[in-house]
Amino acid sequence: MASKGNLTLKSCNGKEFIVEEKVAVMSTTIKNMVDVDDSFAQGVIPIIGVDGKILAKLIEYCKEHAEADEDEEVKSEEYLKKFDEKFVDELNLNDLYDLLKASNYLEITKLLNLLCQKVASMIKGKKPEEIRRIFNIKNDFTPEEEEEINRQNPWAF
Amino acid sequence: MLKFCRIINRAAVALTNTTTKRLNLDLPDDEILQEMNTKMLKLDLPDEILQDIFSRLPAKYVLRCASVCRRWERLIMSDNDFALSHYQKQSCSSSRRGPSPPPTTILVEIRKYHIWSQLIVDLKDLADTKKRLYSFDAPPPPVGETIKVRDKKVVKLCPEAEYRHPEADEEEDESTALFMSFSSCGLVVFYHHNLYDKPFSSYFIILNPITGHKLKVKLAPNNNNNSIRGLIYGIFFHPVLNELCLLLGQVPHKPQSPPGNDPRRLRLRYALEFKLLNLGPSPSRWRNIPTRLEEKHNQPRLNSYGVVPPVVLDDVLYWINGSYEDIYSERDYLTWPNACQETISAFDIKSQEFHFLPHPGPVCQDSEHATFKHRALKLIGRHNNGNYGGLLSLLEDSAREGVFNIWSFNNNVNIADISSSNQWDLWTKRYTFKYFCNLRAEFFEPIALLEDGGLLLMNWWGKGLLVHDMKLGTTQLLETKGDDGVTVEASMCAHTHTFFSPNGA
Repeated sequence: MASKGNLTLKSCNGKEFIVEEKVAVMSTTIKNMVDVDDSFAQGVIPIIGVDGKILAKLIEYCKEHAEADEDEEVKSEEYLKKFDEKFVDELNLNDLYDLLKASNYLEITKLLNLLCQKVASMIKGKKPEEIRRIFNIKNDFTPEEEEEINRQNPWAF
Repeated sequence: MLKFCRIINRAAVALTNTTTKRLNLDLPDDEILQEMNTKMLKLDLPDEILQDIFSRLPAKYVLRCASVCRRWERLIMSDNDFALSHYQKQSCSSSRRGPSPPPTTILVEIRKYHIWSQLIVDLKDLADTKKRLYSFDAPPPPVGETIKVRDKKVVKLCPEAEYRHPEADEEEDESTALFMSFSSCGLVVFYHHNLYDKPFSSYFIILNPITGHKLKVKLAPNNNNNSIRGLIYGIFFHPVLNELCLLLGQVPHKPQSPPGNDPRRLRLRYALEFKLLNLGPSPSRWRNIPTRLEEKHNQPRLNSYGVVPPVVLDDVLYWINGSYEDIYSERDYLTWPNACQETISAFDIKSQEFHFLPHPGPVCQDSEHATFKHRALKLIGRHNNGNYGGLLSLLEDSAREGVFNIWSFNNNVNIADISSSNQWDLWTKRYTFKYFCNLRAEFFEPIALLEDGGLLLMNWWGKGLLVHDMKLGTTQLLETKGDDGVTVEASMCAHTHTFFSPNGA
């Protein structure tokens, strides 16, 4: 049971996290749940489809940013920028995908922007073959189609 | 099987590398094992996240993504919602005021000896070069050097377009003689060339050169089987309809024999009718727009091969009007009998009303000297750099003084309020530079003002692309040459890559 001002979040594999409300409501989805139904604020909020590891990551991120929003002097913009950089750099690809989906579902806009920007920076400057390798994507074009695409596309290279 | 084991091994190695970094997370071992099972990735991000990611990339790299797999191709090439969000994101990153992204490319169309080639000049290359290559202020004018542009490419821009010398094959079917006119919202307008009614046409192609999507616009003949001619004034994104729209000025139906048997005078006798066409996925149809514009305020200014490109700023479409004499004999600036008749027409996209603005400078109120003082006005869009603050800007080629002036429209002026006024002091002169060349023989057409480097790009007719750095005061020239190495005339337009489809595909 969370004390006043705290919320309990439960991952899909049963892990519970007690977090301050200001941290949890960085997620618009959670904020809406709490605003609409008071019982969520008292009990446990199930976070469907997000496992404990990813939820821990989400909370780590939201905590830093919620505290920075509250007191700009403690955590400067520069500090947050460094934190964000470190945060995304340490993610492996799986976590990156899972976090992207989770932050999309939970509507944590700042984090979603950060992660999309990260993936974009991984794509930028790469050739299609490299992109497929990095993201483990199967090339489902026939060789003829691929040749046609490349021929029509002098702008991309 | 062996291959599979290798992959698992590789995955395990990758995992040990990452787990050392993530020890502070204090994860139970079974979760790591679970992760290993799913290590063979699954790119199952929802469509909207993928499109969000793509919209953050410059068009060049988005195009590469389109050839990664079928799903990515579909998300990029056939979704106008994605096109819009990419367009908006690219605008935001470069200028807070939006709404249109700055040009990234100059399209160059060279026509000589039946050669038709298009050149893509990547503007990044221009910003990189800071060499002083051409000087205007020290006589005699030196010969410009040819700059090797790293990313210069020759492409066939429009498959239908093949150059034929207009006088040579007048008798033949002209359906292939399409000329590049201007580019807006990433769509390039080609018009079918007609010798006497240039650039009015009954046939246009609107092409997105990077996706290959195109729309053929053919004006149907009227009841008497007389062909209808018109001119595309602009393409813009309509903020209310949420669709791309096209503004067309159409020469009215009624035929009339030209005075003195000169067919070139024919169109001068009409005020144009304006029509709007939605380029969205819904079936397009023309909508008439009532206008009370006087006849003299809706004739577009012509350049040597088409119209001077229109400019869209803050939901207003602007274009420069030419005088009658200009249209009659477009290069014969020095024979104007009257004061300058050039004004700027403005089409308010939201209210669908027309206005016109006075052009800057007091010189043209003086009819006697108009022709000498002020030779050519060209709109060049906003300039966001430093003191130039995001306003409608205009380049004036003041032949008598031997200078180019850049004027910007003063802020906080309501177009509707100043319509029809003669308050030229609504403009402020922002930049002047001198040139030294044969005033009567040389023609310059501004192509773009680039915000980042304060670069002014001009088409020096028959010479090449002139790049003037407004911060450093340096000028360079990229010569336009045909296959035989001889410098040729070329038409140029600034182009921004977008993924908009003109036919809503």
